[in-house]
Amino acid sequence: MMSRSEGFVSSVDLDIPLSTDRPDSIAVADASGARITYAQLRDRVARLAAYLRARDIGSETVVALAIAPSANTVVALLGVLAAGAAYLPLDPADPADRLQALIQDAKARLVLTEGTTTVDGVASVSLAAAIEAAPEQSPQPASYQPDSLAYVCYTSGSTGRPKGVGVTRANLAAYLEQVLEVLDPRPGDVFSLVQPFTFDSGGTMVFPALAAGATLWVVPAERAVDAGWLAEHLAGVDYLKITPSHLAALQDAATIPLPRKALLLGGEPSRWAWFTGLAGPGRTVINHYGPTETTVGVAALIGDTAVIEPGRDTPLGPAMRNAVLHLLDDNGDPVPDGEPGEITIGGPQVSRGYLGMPGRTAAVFVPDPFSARPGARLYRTGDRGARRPDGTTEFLGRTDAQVKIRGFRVEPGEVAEVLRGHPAVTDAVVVPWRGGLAGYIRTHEPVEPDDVRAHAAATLPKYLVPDAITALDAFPLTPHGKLDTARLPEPVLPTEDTGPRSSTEEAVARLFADLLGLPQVGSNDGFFALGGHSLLVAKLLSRLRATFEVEIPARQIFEAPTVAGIAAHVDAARTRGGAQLPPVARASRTAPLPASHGQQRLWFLNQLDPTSPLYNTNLGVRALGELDTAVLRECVLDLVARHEVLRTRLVAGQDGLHQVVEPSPVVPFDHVDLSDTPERDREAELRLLIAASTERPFDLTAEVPIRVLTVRLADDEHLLLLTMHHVATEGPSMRILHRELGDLYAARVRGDLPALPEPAAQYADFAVWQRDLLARGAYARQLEFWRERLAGLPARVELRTDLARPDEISPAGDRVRFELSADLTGRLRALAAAEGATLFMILLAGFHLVLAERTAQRDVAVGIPVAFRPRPELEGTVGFFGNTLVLRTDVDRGLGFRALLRQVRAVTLDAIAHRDLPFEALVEEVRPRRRFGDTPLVNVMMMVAEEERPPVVLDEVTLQAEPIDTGTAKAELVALFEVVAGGLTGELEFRTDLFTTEGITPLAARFEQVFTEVLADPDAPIAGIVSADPTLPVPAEEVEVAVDEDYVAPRTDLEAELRALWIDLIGNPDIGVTDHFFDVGGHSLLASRVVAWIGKRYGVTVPLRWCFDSPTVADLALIVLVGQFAADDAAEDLLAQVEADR
Amino acid sequence: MSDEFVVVVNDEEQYSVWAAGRELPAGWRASGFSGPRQACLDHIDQVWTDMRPASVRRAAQA
Repeated sequence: MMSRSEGFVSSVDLDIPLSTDRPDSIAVADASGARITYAQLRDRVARLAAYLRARDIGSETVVALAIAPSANTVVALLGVLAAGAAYLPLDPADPADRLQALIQDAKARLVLTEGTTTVDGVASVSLAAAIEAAPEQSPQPASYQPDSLAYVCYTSGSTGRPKGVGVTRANLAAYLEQVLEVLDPRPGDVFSLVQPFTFDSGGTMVFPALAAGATLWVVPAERAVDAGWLAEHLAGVDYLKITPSHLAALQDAATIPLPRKALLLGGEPSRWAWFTGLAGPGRTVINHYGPTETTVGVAALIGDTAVIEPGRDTPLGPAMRNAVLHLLDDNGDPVPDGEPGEITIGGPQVSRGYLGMPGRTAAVFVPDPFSARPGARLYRTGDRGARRPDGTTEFLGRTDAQVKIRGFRVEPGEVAEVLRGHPAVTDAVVVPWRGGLAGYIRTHEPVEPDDVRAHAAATLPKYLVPDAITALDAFPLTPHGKLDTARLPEPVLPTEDTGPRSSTEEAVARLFADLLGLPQVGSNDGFFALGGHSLLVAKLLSRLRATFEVEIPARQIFEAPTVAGIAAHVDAARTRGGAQLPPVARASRTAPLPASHGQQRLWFLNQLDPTSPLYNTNLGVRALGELDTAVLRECVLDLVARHEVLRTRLVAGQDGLHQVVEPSPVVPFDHVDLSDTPERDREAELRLLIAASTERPFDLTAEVPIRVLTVRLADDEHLLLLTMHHVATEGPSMRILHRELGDLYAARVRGDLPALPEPAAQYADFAVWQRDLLARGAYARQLEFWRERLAGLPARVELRTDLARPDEISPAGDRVRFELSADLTGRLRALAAAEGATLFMILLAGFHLVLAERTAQRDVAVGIPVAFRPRPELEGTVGFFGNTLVLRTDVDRGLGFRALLRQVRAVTLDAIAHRDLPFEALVEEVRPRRRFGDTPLVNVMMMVAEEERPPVVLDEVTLQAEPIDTGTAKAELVALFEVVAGGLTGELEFRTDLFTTEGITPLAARFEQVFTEVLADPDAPIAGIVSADPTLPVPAEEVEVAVDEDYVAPRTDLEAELRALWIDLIGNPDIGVTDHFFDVGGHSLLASRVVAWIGKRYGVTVPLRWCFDSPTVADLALIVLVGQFAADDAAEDLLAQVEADR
Repeated sequence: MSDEFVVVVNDEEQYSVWAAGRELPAGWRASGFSGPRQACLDHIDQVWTDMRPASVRRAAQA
């Protein structure tokens, strides 16, 4: 048989196959975040090569790579090639004995490591150290021949010794040439390597990617089976090579996007029907065939160009350009088409053979009588095939016992030989079983099958370790005295008697049993010990996700593969509220940036009452010493430049609220000199200035949310006040800003440029990340928790107020201070500690008793503001990370205080475990009916003071935190505590529309009284402590607000249109024109969209508070009518007329 | 299938086995050892001690 490649001898002197076209584009990336550009890659490769050359490592020298799959592995293998040497890829996760054996078998001179592996008798160095220690100039140029060794790849050997296939540079060059022709990659394409470097199959991705100037993604083993992760990763991939069983397992677990340009399957047969179903627009599907001995691949069936007869299995494609496929009989003569023969391969990819195994090499690398090139060799694959009429080859199995386990070639004889190495084992056989291997042993002394399995696991890579070991008295034989594999008994897997313990364990055990086809599984049974393998991990992960709604990283399955171990991870993930949160990535600044939920709520409140300064926050700094106010001003501008959120406006768009980041905003600065003001008036003047700044509202749509005031009080005393809207800041942000201000000032005052690193993430990145998580349902479990937890929550805590409750409550507030002695605080801490509770929890339990002076309500919800950054990269990010947790307690008067404390503890821990769900998303979901001025869900709050911002002490000046009182209250009644040297100080903050100082003062004093009483007897019913006043308010009966139960149909076109709008926005078709907006499912953001829509449609500006004041379609229609005719003199008449009509 | 084999070697001094009596492909010559297949392979294990192709070996010595 003649081949079009006959006579091809690669003259390609295989230099590093590295594109030089685009030095700054990414050459290699990995899941750990490594991104190496072509320029960097060339540099590192050259340095590693120089290091190796300086040690006389070059042609025909083997360097082992004990480096887990990562971008660094690519640096290492290219560096070895650049030195002219050959690399031996190893998997550091394999048993040390195996690594040692392969390194010695290949006669490696050096092991490149990640700094952890050491091998007896062979020098090793970490890759990083080698690159670091490289000489500037390579002392000796690399010298090698085309036939010098490029790499050594080990495959299973039937005699028990793995075989190292030696592949030359010319072999690799020939493969690269032909595969580039098939793949035709372009610079910027993305290749994904999901196979280990120890599997030569990955060469289809590695070398073409780098030769083409594309990006090679190295996917580590635990990600390669993580269907959820891969589904995202592959969405951006152009080329992927994978074994059919791996892809099928992923597809079982998730919807896996296929690569855009080419999907290459190889390593094992696949079904034709499945194969043809993988095609798609622009995507080529290729069945790639080739043994390691002939360099990665020699045949390619290109799905969309192949005109072939359908069959059961996907055939092996025609030979590629640099290979010839023969089908030969036992004598080495070609068989007629359609007849079975041994697939035998010729051409320049036929490798050198097996290192150190001359006889075994000579047996299968034989003279090539078909080649025109003198001395050429053929490789006899041991694969059987038959030529089909369409020119493809049907795969008919093996001529020997070799099997494929998940794409890996496995000689059961190699494994059996290892089992025979156990001192108790007389003989062993190994057969394929359920996608893995089963071992059978005869022993001359009693032995636990698990011992023998452990013996195998100590020397073999995972895929070679039998899933089950069964001891037999004798092996079943055929009448001819050969082993009768058909009569081997079904393996029995060891399981323990200990049944599952927790309900999670029970559920995990059921998943194991289902996946592995076992009747029962115990808590300490391991997934892999029971026959699970890495491909089943993908299925296990997806079932865990479906069952528990948690994301368990695949790594955790490998680290703790028992039922109990996985159950523990599941429980931990559920307590955290599910997902291992993904990192916050930088969001595109060209696409519209959505507002976070927190920004959205604060913006809504801002639009609702544009005149309110309630959400102004203040960063006060008193500078003592010599201060350069011009420099300070520069520093404030630095802060605004560093933190986008300080120069962000919030603008309503069609699809929600957007953040608009101003590149160079005008920050309002005021400077006042009070140093000439008489000292007795100075502080009063200062208070007026502060009030002027803090009481001026922000328009979040039109302005940046920061203004600056500097006041010179004396030569050596200044005040800096940054008034910021809450939308841009909270407690931790204040500390960041204060600290950075000190750093910036210290640098600038010396004349240096500030050297602060950029924040790792901006607030807008967080907002995009948060939206994305919500959209993906990452918080579904938390939402479910809160919905259950808050079902039937009374609208508010009905408190006996000092003043009659007005319809509308202003945020104006005042506060009464109180103290708790060090002794009392110490005893409270002790009681809390005895119950495993915190000081916070015991203070909240006490607050409930104080509240009981003003309410007889049992079902009490207290809001707890929390500010936390859910990911480490947000630690330096300024912005509003505040959230409100609703702690709902049943203040049962029959309980003792200790029992109440236990309840508060449980409620608090549960809430903290579910703290990620944005409060705003909760409010949208729970949809409490709200009144103007009410805080949703909670009207009573408690907080423990933020730790004070530590002063920044500089050479000339000290920047101290300055507390600023804004004269507002965040809720109707708020308890604030602060830990001080002598115990606790507290404040009760109250809204002055409801309470008076005279009324609140005795309430504040109650804290000390109730704590003293409960400490005397923590188990006495609290009924004996709290007021039994029968006139105290109880929650308003579910006053069914005499809701118009009756559906009222729209009576005018305008009403019909507005009703249609509501239905559209709310998604509830059951809306009558007299129904209340909040009752039918409306919420604040929808209310603002109604405003925007009406503005556009009718040109009428409806105040946002319509949803409180005029919350029905009929009311809204009236506002629109009035607005439309506002300029009209007839408006009054019309209005009267409409009113009369109603 | 013939039971008798010869040990053959090519210009790169790579060894293999070949059925006795069959015409040898170009670039290959008989080494002089013949016998059953396994005996030939065992012989090769003895004599093919440096598996580098001759061209690579020569370059290394140069």
